[in-house]
Amino acid sequence: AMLTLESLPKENVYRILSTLSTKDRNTVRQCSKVMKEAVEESDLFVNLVTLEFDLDIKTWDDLEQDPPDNPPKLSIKLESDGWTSWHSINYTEEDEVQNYIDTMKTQFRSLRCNMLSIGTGEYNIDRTEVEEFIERIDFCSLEIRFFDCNQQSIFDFALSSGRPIEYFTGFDASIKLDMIVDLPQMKRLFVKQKEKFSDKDVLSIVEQDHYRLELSTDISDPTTIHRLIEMVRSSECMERVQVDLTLPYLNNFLSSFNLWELRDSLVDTKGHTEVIDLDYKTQRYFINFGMWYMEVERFDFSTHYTDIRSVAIYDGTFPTDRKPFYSVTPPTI
Amino acid sequence: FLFPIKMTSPRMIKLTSNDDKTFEVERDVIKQSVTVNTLITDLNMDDEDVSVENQMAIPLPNVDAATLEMVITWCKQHREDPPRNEEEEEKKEKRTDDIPEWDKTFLDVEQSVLFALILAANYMDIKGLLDNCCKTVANMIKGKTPDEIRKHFNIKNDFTPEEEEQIRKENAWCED
Repeated sequence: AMLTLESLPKENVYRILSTLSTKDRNTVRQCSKVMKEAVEESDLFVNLVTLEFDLDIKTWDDLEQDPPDNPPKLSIKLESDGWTSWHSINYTEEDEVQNYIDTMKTQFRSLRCNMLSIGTGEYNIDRTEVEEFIERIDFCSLEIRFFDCNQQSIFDFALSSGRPIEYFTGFDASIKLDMIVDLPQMKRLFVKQKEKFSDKDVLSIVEQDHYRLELSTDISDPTTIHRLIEMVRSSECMERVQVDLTLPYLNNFLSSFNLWELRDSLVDTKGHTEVIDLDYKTQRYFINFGMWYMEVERFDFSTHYTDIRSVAIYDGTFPTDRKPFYSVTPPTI
Repeated sequence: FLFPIKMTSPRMIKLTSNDDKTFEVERDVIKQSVTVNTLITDLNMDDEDVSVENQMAIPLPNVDAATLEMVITWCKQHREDPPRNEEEEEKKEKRTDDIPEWDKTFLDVEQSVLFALILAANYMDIKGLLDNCCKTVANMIKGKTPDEIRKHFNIKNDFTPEEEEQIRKENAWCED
């Protein structure tokens, strides 16, 4: 039989694909079912890369716990299929931001930095600070979206800038759903399920990209979170749920176990987003401090934190199969 | 006084294609094939006491004569190339604009011949040839639309219009 591109062994096709840009690889993916499969199985397939910049203006100062000279930080979240990484740099050093973006572009060759998210959270910031920041990083030509703009002045600015606004509720938490199956199915599910929640709970479902939905709710009512998670679990199309918690909530959580000392010794808490990751594949839960993870067994949102059995600390990236280097069993409450 | 000068002819290796054609090739030339090189060492074929006439031919059941001839030609051309450091090669940025001019001309062949060379280079483990063949194919793909790629490589579009639209949407993020 005549040899064709489609009849080549996959390892050879992968080698060809490895020399192509992401764009060209995705074009090949459109050619036929065989080629689509080859691209997707090649480990080179990047379905979507989003660089999300989170202007961290939540200085500790606001919480009266941090020295006033704590510089604001720029947290950078790089997302792609199956993984997420967070990086924090001091955004006052302009070159560092540029270098970082350049590095990312080199690593991903055809990386398209397509989004800048600025979240203002619930803290008081100066509108000019946001304006200055945008001016500083505008060389990236990124689309800038404002989210969580609960402050009227920032909200007004976001509106006047003509940039997309994702949500501006000032709610205490958001749940980010990393999907592994088709979006329309998930959307239908959410629309259907939305009836179970009050308008206050579920404010918006944002189609952030092809594979991700974002919705906000009020974490002050853990049963809502619990219902959401159960809903997601029953849908069987979720791989992982992230619950972003605000600091006060986490503080309560940690202080219940006298873990402050531990946390202070290990974690640069300034400016990190605290996340609890629930890995449904392994049924393991993690609290994410950026570089550190605490593994929590049986975290039960419906009963707050009374079901926690142990906490373990990991370094590095998401601890899928590594052993913790530190573990502690909290006292029974 | 005239001393007899011992002429050292290059060590030859015999290779047999899958259509039973035997080629004699210099040991130094074919050393670029990791597969053949390993076989020569394992079978102790570097023994100088064995003449080429008495030497066993190495069978290459996955390579036909026409392709093997091309592979040997390529190896002859690249016999002076410095040995590749695969670790370094892996680290290098993947480019397709660094194919040597001689290779460009040599690989300007029908697609089926090029694909046969890829298979042979893969089987014989000749990384340099494999790389340049794959880069040649990649250059045929670069910058083309899906339709153009299908036409160039004679690929049948077996997607339904709905599937095609879905993939197009999924790819929208990386389009210019």
